[in-house]
Amino acid sequence: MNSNPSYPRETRRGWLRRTACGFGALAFSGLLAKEALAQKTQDTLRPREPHFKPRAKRVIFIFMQGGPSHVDTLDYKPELLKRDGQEIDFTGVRFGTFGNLSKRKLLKPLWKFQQYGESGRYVSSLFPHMAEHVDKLCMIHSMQTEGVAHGPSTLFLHTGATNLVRPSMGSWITYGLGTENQNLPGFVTIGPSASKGGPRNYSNGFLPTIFQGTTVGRAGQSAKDARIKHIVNRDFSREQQERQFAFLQKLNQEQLKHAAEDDRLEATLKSYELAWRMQNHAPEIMDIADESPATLNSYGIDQKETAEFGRQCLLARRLAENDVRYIQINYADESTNPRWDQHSNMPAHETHARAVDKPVAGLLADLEQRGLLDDTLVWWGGEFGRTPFAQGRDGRDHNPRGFTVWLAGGGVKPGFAYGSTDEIGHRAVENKVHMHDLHATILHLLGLNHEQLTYRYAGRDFRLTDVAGKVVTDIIA
Amino acid sequence: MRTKSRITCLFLSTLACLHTFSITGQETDFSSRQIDFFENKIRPLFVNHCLECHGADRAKIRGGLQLTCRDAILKGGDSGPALIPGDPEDSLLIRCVRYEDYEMPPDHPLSDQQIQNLVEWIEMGAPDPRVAGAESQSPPEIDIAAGREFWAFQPRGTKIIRPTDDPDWVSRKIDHFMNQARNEAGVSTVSEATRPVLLRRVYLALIGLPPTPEQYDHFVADPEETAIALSQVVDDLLESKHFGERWGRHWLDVARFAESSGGGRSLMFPDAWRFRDYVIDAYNHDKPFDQFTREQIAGDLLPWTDHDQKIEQIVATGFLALGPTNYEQQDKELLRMEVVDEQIDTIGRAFMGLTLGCARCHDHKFDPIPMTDYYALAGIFKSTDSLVDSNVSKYVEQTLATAEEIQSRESYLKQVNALTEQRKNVADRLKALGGLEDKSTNVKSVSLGGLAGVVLDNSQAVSRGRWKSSSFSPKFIEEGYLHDENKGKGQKQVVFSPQFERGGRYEVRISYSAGGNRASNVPVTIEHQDGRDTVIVNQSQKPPIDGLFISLGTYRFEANNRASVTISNKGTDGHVIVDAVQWLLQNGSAQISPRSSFKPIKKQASTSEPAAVTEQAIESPELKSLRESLSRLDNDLLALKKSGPKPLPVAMSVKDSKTPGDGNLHIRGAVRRLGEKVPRGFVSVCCPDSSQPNIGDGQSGRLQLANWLTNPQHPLTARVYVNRVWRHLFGRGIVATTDNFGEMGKRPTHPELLDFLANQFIADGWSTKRLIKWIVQTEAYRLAHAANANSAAIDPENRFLWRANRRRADVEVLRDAMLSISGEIDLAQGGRTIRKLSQYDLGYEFNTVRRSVYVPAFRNSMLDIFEVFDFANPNLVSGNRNSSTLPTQALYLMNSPVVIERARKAALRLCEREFPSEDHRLRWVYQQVLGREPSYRETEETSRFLSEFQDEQVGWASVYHALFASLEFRYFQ
Repeated sequence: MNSNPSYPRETRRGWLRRTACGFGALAFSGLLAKEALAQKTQDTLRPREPHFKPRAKRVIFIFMQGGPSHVDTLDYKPELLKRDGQEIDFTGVRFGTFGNLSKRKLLKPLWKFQQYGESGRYVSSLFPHMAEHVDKLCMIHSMQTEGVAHGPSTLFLHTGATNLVRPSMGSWITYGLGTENQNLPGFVTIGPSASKGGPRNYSNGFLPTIFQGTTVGRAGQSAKDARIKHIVNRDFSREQQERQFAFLQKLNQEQLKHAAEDDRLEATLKSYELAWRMQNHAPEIMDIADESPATLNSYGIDQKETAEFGRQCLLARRLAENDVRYIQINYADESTNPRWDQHSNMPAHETHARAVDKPVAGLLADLEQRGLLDDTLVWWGGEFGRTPFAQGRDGRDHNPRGFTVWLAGGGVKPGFAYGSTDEIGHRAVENKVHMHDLHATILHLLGLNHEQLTYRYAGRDFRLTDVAGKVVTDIIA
Repeated sequence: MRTKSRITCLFLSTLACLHTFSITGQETDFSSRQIDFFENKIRPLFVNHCLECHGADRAKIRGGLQLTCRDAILKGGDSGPALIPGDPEDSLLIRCVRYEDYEMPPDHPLSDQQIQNLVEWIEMGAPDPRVAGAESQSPPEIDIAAGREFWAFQPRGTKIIRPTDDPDWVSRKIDHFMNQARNEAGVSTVSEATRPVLLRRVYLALIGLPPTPEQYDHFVADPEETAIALSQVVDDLLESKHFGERWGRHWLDVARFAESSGGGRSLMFPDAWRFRDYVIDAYNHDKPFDQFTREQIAGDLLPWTDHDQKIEQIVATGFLALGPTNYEQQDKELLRMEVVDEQIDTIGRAFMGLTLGCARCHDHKFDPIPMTDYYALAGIFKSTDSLVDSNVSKYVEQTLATAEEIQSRESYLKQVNALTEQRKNVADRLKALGGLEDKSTNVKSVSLGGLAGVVLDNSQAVSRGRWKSSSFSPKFIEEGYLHDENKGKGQKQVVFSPQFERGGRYEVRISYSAGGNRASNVPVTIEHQDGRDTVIVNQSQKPPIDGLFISLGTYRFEANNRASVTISNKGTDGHVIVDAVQWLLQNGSAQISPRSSFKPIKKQASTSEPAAVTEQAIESPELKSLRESLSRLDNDLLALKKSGPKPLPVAMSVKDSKTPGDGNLHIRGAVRRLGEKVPRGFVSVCCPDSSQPNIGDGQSGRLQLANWLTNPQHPLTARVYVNRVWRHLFGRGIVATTDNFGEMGKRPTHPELLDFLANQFIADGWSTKRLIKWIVQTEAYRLAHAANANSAAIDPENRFLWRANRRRADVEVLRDAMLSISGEIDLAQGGRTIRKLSQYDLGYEFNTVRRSVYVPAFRNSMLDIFEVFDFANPNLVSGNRNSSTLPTQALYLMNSPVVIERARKAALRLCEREFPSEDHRLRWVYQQVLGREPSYRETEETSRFLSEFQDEQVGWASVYHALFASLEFRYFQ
């Protein structure tokens, strides 16, 4: 089933299985050596051939933690405006109300919608800057996902499972494709939250450790201070560091000379050289001092409200330029009601919209202008949407049954909208796209067949998409 | 990936099944009008909307359902018949197209007219002229008997083995098996390792600490033969109290041990340390592995002779409770099955090397484990309570207290209640006489001691962001309050996390000192048993209760469950004040009336001195005496609380359910799709043909499972365990996939040896220490890590152990060694190491110099070095830790202040020590860090490097730092 030539281990296993007796067969010396080699290939970040011609080379995922309301932002529902205050039947999804029917009052969109661009897509007044790029966006209005609380749904978004321990999407992708710049990690997540799934959202799960996400800063920490852990030595001057490194490598060379031939020691020795290069290279990439005032302005870095997320977005572009394979930026925090989670006080969406709108627009414009948008897939979205009915007076609850995300660049149809929710924006009804389908589609755009990107762990082949997932071919340009 | 032979097998069994299933047809006559209706309305609908997934093409069939002819429709798929002729309302098909059940077709719902046509068609009796083709399909049957032919399920070699008094005989036997295999493969061994190498090897392997230079000198100079000298060291190490810390940790890897749940809303496991200590003790006392196994699965059900044994056994069942459960999952039915699944999967891998979890949704694809086996086990764990349901559910706890302890605690609580009640009466009377309120309005500060209910001051809360302390504006509780300086909006919060000893409805209040510059919109979030609520508080207005508190409403809390109040400055329009939170039990008898819930602190009341004095002077005798008794009662209460018995100890555990019984199969693993009932039982392929568990009424079957697993005849338990021990000693198991002995695992490199070891292990009472001793005493264990071109060409992976493997030291070894060398290590044993009042694992500050096994092991945050150097993934059974080589590891060793600080401390210690010469000093350092003497060139290079430093100690710190980062420190042979 696994036809990818970069994974000869599988083929050999198949062969071993077909030969009835494993033990006797093991004595074939050539085979042993071959297996050792195959194992090595799989455990590196070296670039690998995709399954077929890719449309995108890398991904920037802009994560909107907490669940932005689609009916107030990108999913225009005039009917909801009309039926404001009306009661509807609702089947409970939470503990204590599971499966029970109750009445809920519809709450109209709180912001005005207007058509933009040649495509004439509706965007609310929350996203005036993003709206200008509407002709680049490919909106999916019919998203569905699993889980109804933040933890399970956030894990599902990142790993395709609400509870079971699975590798995250960035890990799967670097496992599938490796990465092209060996001086930088292949999977970077900027400012991730330690809650709502926490490290599992960028964990390699059971994949080899090299595929785990590298964190740059954390939620709550200023993006100014965000960097790869331990990349800076605060104890020694530059000159001291050089002297120390030279001595260390001398010791290592000497130790290696006395050791019986050993690939691992050699690899470890090389890892120091690589670390040294990273140490000298990465801080420069993370340093935005050489960006022009115009650029800083376009990301909103010169304004207080947008400076934080603007920096994250700009960092994402710099990493993309340097061929990092999977970049995630997190509009996230550590609070109990994370960011977009307005169970009460929907008007607070305005704060969040303001913080992300201009930076995201700036990123899209910048990527396009540098020609990066052609082979970079940008994905914007949260773990779920929000209900069209009110919670309390002016809040909205979580809605995993229908919500909107958008993709841009990297092989998707620009100025396009796919699928729809019902007339009030509660459930996806037309061309439903499950989170598994979105995962399958993103892998497809990167040239990976989601059914073939497998890893054998504990006796079975695992996939990001479990046993589900359908590529949404209609949105591919 | 399926092999050809397997596919053939499947195909044949499918053909065989076809025959059996062509029986559903019922002779039915339909009128031509009815057939026309089908042809015009129904057939096109099926073709356009259904047959893509429910057609004849087997590869594409979903849910086992084919809509290709009447028989197939009536037979139905995994969820049963698709329709009931004549009864559309009860037909699954209709419920599905109405989106009331499955939502079909998934992408575009049918139109109302189309649904109406289907209803009519079913009312007619579902006329359908289509002829049965090759539509029926049934899953392949698993042939258990054939499955038993696989090596791992075969009984072990039948040679009778007796317990032995001669451990050397066992060691020689092991070498014999290994030599045989080497000879057959044509590889030859290298020479024996040097003494320094051997010493470091056994120290790191057996206790995880490096030998000191003194121990080094002693061993190297020992006049005995190496094997004998080593044997003495090994005996000492096996008796060391550090042995259990090293080997216990190996088992904790398998037990996916952690002290928090991880996932969404990570729950702390404040009592998980008891399980950790239980495991360490078990290894130190060489608890027989069969008993160890039984206790972890069914310790709560085993007989006991004294209280200590009883609680030890209860603590052992923490094994079942410590998993990475997402307690926040709202669908509790699903949550329960996920916990059961995690338990089954963990037991399967930990004890049997089987991936039982694969049989949750379908028969195991590779191993002879039918889905019914999975649900036979699931019945046992569904008959076991592991969860207490709630919005965020919780694990089950069992008390570890004796009856007397429970009684003494209860009588203490009664005393507290009685005193509180008395105090309330006095306070009420005092208030009625106007003796309390006036006074209280003048005071600036109130003490915690006099407040009713559970009260936490800002000094007991966890804050994030910069908060400024102040005592400028009255009133407040204790020393003062915090404010946000009206800055950093949205970045600051303070979390108060109470511990409730008693569940019930509590009124929640916060106190603040009001003022004109205060925020009018402070969000306060209450986390309670049923979820969380946010209340907006206007702090510019005086608090209504006593001028101190405002009520946030009444909420439900459970004893010992997580609860919190979070005050944030997100989106606020002024200064945000954080002072204290009070939780008042509503239905308790000991309720103090809201208006008198505190007493002033006299000392600080002095701001209003003159008034107070006057007041005091004109007080009536009754008021005076009331005041005195109030103060006496407060003192008594405080004294009682200080001297009272501590809260009772509890352990994470499980309980047999009150209504145990067999469970149903879940079709395709779906929680609400129940299939047939499956009698509780074990893994059939590991059972002799006739063995059926005898599970009595009212029992879960866990005890029977534990006994079955540890039956000496069980083909897997002992094999899997001795293989784990082998893996830790040699770096690779006889079966390389330690957690998978199934078809997809590796085959044993030395099958006879594995069986011999398992047999001898059982015969000698399942003793881990003896097993280790046998293996460590072999010639094989003493081999060097040297080159041999011929052997390397034949066996590059060293499966035949013709030389020692070079291995990455586990992260605990790296950290413990650095701390030992720096002299900072705290070798204390056991006990709770999570700081009190920590209710969240993220952001936890791990400042400890205890051995690594005692560093809190959380799922949401880990000690930096653990993360970098492949600490066992606490979410999975990890018999084989990852051992990666990453630049981030190099970065850590080169730049982490943690490493640099250890090097500095080590240098400080070194420079305080006298040495006959500088060469001796250098030699000492190499012995400490690398367990060997420096080479000539190393001595030269190091001396030259040192000479570049003006300050000797700084120079040595740099040498230590470089050695800590060097290859040999990270690896051992």
